[in-house]
Amino acid sequence: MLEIANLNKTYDNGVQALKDVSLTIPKGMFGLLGPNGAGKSTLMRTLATLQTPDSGGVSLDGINVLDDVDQLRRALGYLPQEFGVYPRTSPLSFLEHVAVMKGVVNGGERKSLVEHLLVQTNLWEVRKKNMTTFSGGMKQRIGIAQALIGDPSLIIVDEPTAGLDPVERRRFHNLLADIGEEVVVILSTHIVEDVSDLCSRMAVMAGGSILDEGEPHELIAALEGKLWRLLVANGDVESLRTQIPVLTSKRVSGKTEVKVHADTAPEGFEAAAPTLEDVYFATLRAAGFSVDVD
Amino acid sequence: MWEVFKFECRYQLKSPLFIVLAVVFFLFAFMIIAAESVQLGGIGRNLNINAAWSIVYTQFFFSLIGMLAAIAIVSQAITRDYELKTAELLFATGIGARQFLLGRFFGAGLFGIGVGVAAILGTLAGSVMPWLDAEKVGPFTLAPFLYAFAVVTAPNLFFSAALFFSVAALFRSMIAAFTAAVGFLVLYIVVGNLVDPEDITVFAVLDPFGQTAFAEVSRYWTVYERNNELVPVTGNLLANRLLCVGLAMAMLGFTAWRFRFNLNPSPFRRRARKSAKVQLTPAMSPKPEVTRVFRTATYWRQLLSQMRMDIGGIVKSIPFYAVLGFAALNVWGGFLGASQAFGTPLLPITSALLQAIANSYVFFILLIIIYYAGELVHRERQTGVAEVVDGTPFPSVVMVASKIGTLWFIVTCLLLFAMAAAVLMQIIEGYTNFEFGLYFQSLFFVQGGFFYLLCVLAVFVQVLAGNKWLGMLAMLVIFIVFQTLFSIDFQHGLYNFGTPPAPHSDMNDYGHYWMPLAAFTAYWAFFCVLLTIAAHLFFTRGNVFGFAERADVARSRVTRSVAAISALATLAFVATGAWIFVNTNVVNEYRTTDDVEAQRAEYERTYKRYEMATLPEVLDVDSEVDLFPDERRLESRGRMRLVNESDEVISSLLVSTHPFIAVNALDLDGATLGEQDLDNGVHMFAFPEGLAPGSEAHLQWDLTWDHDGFANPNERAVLGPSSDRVVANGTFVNNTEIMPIIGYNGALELSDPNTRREQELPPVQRLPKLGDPFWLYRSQLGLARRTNFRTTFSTTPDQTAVAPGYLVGDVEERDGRRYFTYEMDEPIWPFFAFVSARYEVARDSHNGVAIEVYYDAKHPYNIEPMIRSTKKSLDYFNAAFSPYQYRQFRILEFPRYQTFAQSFPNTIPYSEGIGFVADLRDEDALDLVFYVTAHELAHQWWGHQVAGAQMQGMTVIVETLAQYSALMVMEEEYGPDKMRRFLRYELDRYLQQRGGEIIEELPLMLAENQQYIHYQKGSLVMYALKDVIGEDNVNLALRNFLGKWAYGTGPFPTTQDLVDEIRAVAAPQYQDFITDLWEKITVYDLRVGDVEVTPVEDEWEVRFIASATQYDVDGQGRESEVLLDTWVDFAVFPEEPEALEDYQLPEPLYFEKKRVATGDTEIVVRVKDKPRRVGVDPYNKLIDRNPEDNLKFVTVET
Repeated sequence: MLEIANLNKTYDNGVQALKDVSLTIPKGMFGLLGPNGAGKSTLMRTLATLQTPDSGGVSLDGINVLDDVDQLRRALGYLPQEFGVYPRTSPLSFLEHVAVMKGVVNGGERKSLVEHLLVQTNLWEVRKKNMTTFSGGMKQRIGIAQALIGDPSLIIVDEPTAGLDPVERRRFHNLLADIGEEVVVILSTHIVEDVSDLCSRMAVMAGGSILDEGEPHELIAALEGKLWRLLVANGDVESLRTQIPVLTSKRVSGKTEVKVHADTAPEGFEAAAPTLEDVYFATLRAAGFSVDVD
Repeated sequence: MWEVFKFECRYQLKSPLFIVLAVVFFLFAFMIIAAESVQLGGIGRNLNINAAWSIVYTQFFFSLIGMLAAIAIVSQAITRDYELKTAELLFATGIGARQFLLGRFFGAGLFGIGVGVAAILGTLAGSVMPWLDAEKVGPFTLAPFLYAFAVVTAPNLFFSAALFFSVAALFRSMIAAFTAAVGFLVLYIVVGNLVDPEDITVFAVLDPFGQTAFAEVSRYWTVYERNNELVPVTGNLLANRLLCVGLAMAMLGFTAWRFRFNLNPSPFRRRARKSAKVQLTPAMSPKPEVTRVFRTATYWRQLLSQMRMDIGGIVKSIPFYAVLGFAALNVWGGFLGASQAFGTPLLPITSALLQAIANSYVFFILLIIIYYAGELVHRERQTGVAEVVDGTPFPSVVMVASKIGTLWFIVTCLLLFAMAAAVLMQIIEGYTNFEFGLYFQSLFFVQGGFFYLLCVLAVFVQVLAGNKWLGMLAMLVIFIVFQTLFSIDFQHGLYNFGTPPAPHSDMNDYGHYWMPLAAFTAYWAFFCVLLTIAAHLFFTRGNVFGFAERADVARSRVTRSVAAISALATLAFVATGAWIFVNTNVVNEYRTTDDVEAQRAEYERTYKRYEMATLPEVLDVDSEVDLFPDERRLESRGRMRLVNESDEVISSLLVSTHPFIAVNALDLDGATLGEQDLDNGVHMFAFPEGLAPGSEAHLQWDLTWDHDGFANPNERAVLGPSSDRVVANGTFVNNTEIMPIIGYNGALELSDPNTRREQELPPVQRLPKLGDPFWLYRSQLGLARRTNFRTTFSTTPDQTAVAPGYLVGDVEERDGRRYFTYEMDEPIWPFFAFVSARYEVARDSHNGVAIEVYYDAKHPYNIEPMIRSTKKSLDYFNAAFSPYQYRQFRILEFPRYQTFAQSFPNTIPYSEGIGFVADLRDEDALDLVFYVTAHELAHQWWGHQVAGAQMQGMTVIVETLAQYSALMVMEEEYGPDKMRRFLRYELDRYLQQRGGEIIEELPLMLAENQQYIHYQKGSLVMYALKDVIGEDNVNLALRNFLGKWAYGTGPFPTTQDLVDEIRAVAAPQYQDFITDLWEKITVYDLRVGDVEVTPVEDEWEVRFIASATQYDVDGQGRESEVLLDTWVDFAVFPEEPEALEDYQLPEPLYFEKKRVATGDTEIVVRVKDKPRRVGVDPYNKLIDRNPEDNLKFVTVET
């Protein structure tokens, strides 16, 4: 169980990246959904001990993490949003190195662990290749492999699927799903499917604050009966927008599907089955963030 | 392109890099000229501060280090986008690749040159500062600055910019550019070292920076020319400058042609290897259980793993091997370039190779450390690995330790590689005594200790700087600051980061240099522990914003063990420092250059008035000298019998002792000791009743020369060789150091005009004027009389102690010591050497003269030529001059702390650094050992039989005549061909060194102890004289001179007397020539003009024109033409059969000496063989500032 209490962080340029962030994250996959610039990475990096908050506390299974950084690091598996590798090194030697850095000092154990991870991440065949030439997907798999070293009880995965093709993304989801429910996994993303596919709990973050939090199906259920849809001609969207608060609009087979979040159905609208995406937009909208794509 | 250019200019203007570099260059240049304490090697102190030549020369230096600017600014301009990963954006903007490339180049290049301009402006600003010594500032003109920009700075920086920009663009890598720069620099230095003066023309064209071409024209320039003239941009210099710019444009053109916008790996990089055979992925196993351990052993394991990553990144890159390759080149170049005088190479003994490594490696290793420290410290952040690794549970200190460890690994590789290169050199040269112990000591401690410490400093600086380039720049600035500190008299080793130098001698090993070396190494090592801790505290892990947060992080890393180690290291640092301080400042005295100069100035001011006092003569010296080499202590006791030989009563007497020797007792019977000035070693005695003419007094002394503890490392620099005289093996002292001297010691006067001005002393008078009646009665080796000499000289049982005279009786062994008693059976000049070492002795004899060479067991190589030279010289000198006055002749090797040989009566201390380690295996090379031995033996005549009066020309009587004597023996032994080559080296050195004259050049007859005159010009003049009036006549004149003056008691002869003897044997038509040689500074200009060769029957008719001019030169080098009327050689040479040595010529087909006048002379001659070269004065017997144009190749039409 990871408890985050009242974290604040303001950068030198005046941007407040974390505003009194508090969260309690149980074991299992936790999705942190938010637009770019929401403060997700700052939160992730803070949890990964790569930067310090101005105030607030974090504790993992009772350990006060900010005071005992080393304890957290021993429990941590972190896949950064962007990372590099040493030039002219292979996945094998890189993973060996990370394993040593994570305290796996027994050579035999380390070898079988690294081999296991290489197989698991489907990197076995390229284990001796120079990583500099790897594609984004391969690199992400190395990233997850290194994050899994050392049986972490807290795994932080920051924007893992950005820039991956659908196949790579699917493969990545499968990898994450295998991690199991015995550890805390925080998946930070701006892609709704990542959360809906994988997470048992989630939070929506924007502007440095947590806007909403819960199990995805609960959040969806809360929107049940309050979401309405209407197909209109593309040209009519603008005028519609002036009349009612449109939540989202998207093109569907030559027309535009407009969704509205309201207690009662506006005229002409029909009930819509809410998705997690709708939850996301509704939450943002409710907090005053612009979500309109047009 | 214009848009890109403008964009680049805006970028550079805003970039701190340009501003910082420009400021550094400006300040550095400013200081070089405006702070006289900051000196750039090689720029004459005798020139005006704003001498045109110096201004231009300085800019060569800046254009060389301007390579840094070229890389940092210009190469960055092209790799920036790849590093910042903005390349994709750029490529999509639709700018053409070529426009982009050239726009970037010209924009950044402009700023690269701007950095060079900053240096020019710094020089300019420095040259007009009001505090400069007005006497040393010439009138201001803008011309040299404009010239420097147009001829030096602009083309050179353009070249560097184009070169490194091209490399960076084609390889898309800064490291490639940096490697190219290091390689370029090393090649430049190695080639520069290897260039023989003869090959200068080739390199004058090829040297891309033009310095060689500039030097070629100006190398023989006089002070006047250097102050006022600019090298005309014609000939080689013009060709070179055009080549430089042309080459730069070609490189740029090539790059523009090859450059493409893409992100593929550069086509110039190694292609990826074909993948090995595909292995099948094994079946998924269940996740293995691992145990994780966090304890000290784990941290070591993590350090090892991190170092493997860091080292791997370096050893897997090609540039590292390039670096090693350059390193080997550097060692070989350094060794081969370090030939001894006259092109004689050195034997590849370990000591010599270590010296070569020390000379050529330091600069190189510094660059490597600075560069790799920057790469390593920022590696995780630059590659992005930090994101992954920083969050893993390793203690932060592992990272810093790994960076330092990796640098140590690199340094160790470089040193091992240097050693391998050196050993390989030894094997190639057929030398097999590999002293690995010495290699390791020297490379990993004596020389290497500093590098290892420097690695820590470099990492610390990089960590604090937080930016690679800023860190590198900071390191350079730190070096400049340390250099500057020393020259502005902040010379204490306690604040000059580094280990003291420790010269190695095969005889004395590292001797007394061990202790200070160990002390300072330990001191700075403890400091480096603190630096390491500081680096650990400030090492960035994760994201840290701003100084306050950095400080917070640092504070949080202060754990109990960090605090404990810091406290211990601080304690050790302070304790070592205190111990050093006690040694350098309490037990010994810490003195700066300025302190010592002030002391000498005070001595002169206070005691100069006693210089011409009437002095008693020393007629008997009897002494006991006890040497304790292991303790570096020498005790000297003895008596001198002083006799007043004048016709005046002497009422007081100044007695001097060496300032560094302790006076236990000093007593002069019949006199009372008055004032004593121990700082200056001055003791004033008064004779209450006066010392009447003819009466005598006895001076008794008891002195101790002791070395307690160790002195500050600047000792050798400020005190000179005194610090290396009493040593564990190879002590060599003379009587002026260990015995009292009668009267004022003029040798202590400061001679440099600038130093004298600083000390507010009147302009120096180096020597009394020729013919001064007072000084005619003082000889150059003492007063007027020779003395009887006897000494008992004791030392440890393993050493042999030698002093002038003959061994009396047997060596006495008592109290565990050996006592040698020496006595001279006839009076000698009061000039005695005391030498003691563990010696091997080679003995021989020749016509009743016992010949002994005392040498170190490691140096048996050149004993034979020493003995052979002694025999041949004895034969020649006995026959040509007068009989040798002693029954014995001894050569004694002494450590290489100084490299000279010095002739005492029947005793010649001879440095291990010359002769003993010269490589004479090449029979065509000049025999340096033979020459030095003959020269020193000749001093038994020129010096010991006849000494000149103490005035202008006195050194000519001893040195020039010794040079002549040695030349004649050599010519007899080796033939005239080698003699000419020898003289060609002498000519080169004379012409170069007269440009370094600090007061004024004088004619040979008036030379004031000016080495380039009494040695080099002396050789040339005597040989030319002999060539014209004949060897027999010269020898007759010298015989007459000896007959008149040998063993005299005053007045003593002068060069006027010598020239008179020469004139007496020369025919009337040669008198003007003798005047030109001796009484004027004469320079000739002889050159071959048109040549025409036509085959006639089976012969060749050669017709050529030679022109001749003669100049009178004043002391500053201003030349005025005078009429020439002298004897000049003309020759025609055949095809050269085989490879010739430098300056060697084949036997001529035609040779004639003709009397010619100013202007052209036409020679028409028939020769039997095909001619190849024609020459006027081909052997350079006359002093000619363009010796090369005396010969000309001919083409024969067939």
